[in-house]
Amino acid sequence: MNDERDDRTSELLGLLREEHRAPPDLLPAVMRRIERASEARGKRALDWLLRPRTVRISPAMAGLAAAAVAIALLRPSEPEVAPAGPADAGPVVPTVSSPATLGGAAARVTTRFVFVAPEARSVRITGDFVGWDPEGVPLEDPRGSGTWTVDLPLPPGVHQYVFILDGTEWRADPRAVSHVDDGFGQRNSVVIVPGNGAT
Amino acid sequence: MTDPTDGVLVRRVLAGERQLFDRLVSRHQDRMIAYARHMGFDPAEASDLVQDGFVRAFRHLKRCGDPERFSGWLFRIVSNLCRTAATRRARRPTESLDAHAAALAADGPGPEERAEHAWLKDRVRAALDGVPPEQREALVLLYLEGYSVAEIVELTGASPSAVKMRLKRGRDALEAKLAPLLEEVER
Repeated sequence: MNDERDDRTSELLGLLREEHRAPPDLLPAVMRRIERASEARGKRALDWLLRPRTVRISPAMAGLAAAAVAIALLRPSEPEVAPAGPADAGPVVPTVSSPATLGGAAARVTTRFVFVAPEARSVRITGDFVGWDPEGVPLEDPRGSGTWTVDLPLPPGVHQYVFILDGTEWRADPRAVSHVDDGFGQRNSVVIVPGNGAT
Repeated sequence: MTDPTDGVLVRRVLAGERQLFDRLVSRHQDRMIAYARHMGFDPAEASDLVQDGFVRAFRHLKRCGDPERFSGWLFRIVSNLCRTAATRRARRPTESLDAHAAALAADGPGPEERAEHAWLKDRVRAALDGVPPEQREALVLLYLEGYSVAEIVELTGASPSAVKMRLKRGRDALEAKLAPLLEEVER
C-alpha cells in the first residue's frame, strides 16, 4: 500500500520534474553583483569608520569617561599585552581604553581588541562596524609574541565581530561578554561599547 | 580531466581566485532555481532569491564550515531566503496562462494530449502549492530534486523521523487535494 502510494506520488510529482532551469542571465548577474560589492567594500568600510557621529553624553557618562581617561593616563606607557600561555590562549575581552572625545561632534570610544595566536601568520577583525568586510582590519603583533592587537574607534552600542586567522579561519572570541548565532552555524562575539546612545 | 570538487573550488576562491565562484554558480544554479520554483515562487522571484543566495554565500564563504559540503550549506542559505520571502509575499499558486500557452505551442504530442498534460500539471502544481511549506519542501527534495532521505536530513537539519513524518504528511495532504483527480483517473 505504501509502495503504491509512493509510486503514485512520484508519478504525479514527476509531471513537474525538470521543467525549471536557471535563466541564462543569472550567472553573469551574480558575478556582476559580487564584483560591485568587492569594489565598494573597501571604500564603505573606511567611510564607516571615519564617518562623524554625534553622541549625547549624560553627566554620569561623562564622569565614567573621565575616570576611564584618568585610568588610561595612569597606566604604564607599555602597550597593553595579554599574557601568553595555554591558560590565556584565548583573546582578551576588548577593553575600552579611552573615549575619543567628550560631548564633541565625533565622539567614539577607542576599543582595544587583543587576540593571542602564536601560530597565526595574520589576524584580522571584522564585524558590523566595518559592514562585515571579509578583509576586515588587521591586528598587529609588533613583538612577534603571538599577541595581536588593534585599537578601533567605535561608536557606543552593541557590536558583533569575529577574528580572521590567516585570511581563512573565522574565530569567535571565547572571552567576549557574550555570543550570538551568526545564522551560518557559527557564532559572533559581542562587545558592548558604553555610551548614552548615538543620535 | 575531472572537474574540481566543490571543496577545491571553495578553497581556491577563498585563496583569491574569486572568478572561480562562477563555476560554483554554474554547477548549482539549476537545482537552486528548481527548488525555489517548486516552493511556489515565480521565475523572476526565484531568480532574485537564488541570486541573493549566491551573493550571500560568496560574502560569507569563509563561514562554510566544510567546503566539500558547499551544496548543503548553499541550500540552507537559499531555503532560508525562500522562507523569509514566503512570509513577506503572497505566493503565486499557479503558473501563468502564458506558460501553458507556451507549453501547448511546443513541439511534441498532439494538441489534445498536450492540453490534457498541461491541465494535469496545473492541478498537481496547485495541489503541491497548497501543502504546508515544510512538507512541500520534503516532497520537492525527494521526488523532484532526487535527494535521499539521508541527504534531506543533512540539507534541512531536521531529524530523520521528522523528515519521514513530513514526507508522510505531505503525501497525505497532496493526495487529499488530488483525490477527485485520482478518482477520475482510476475510473
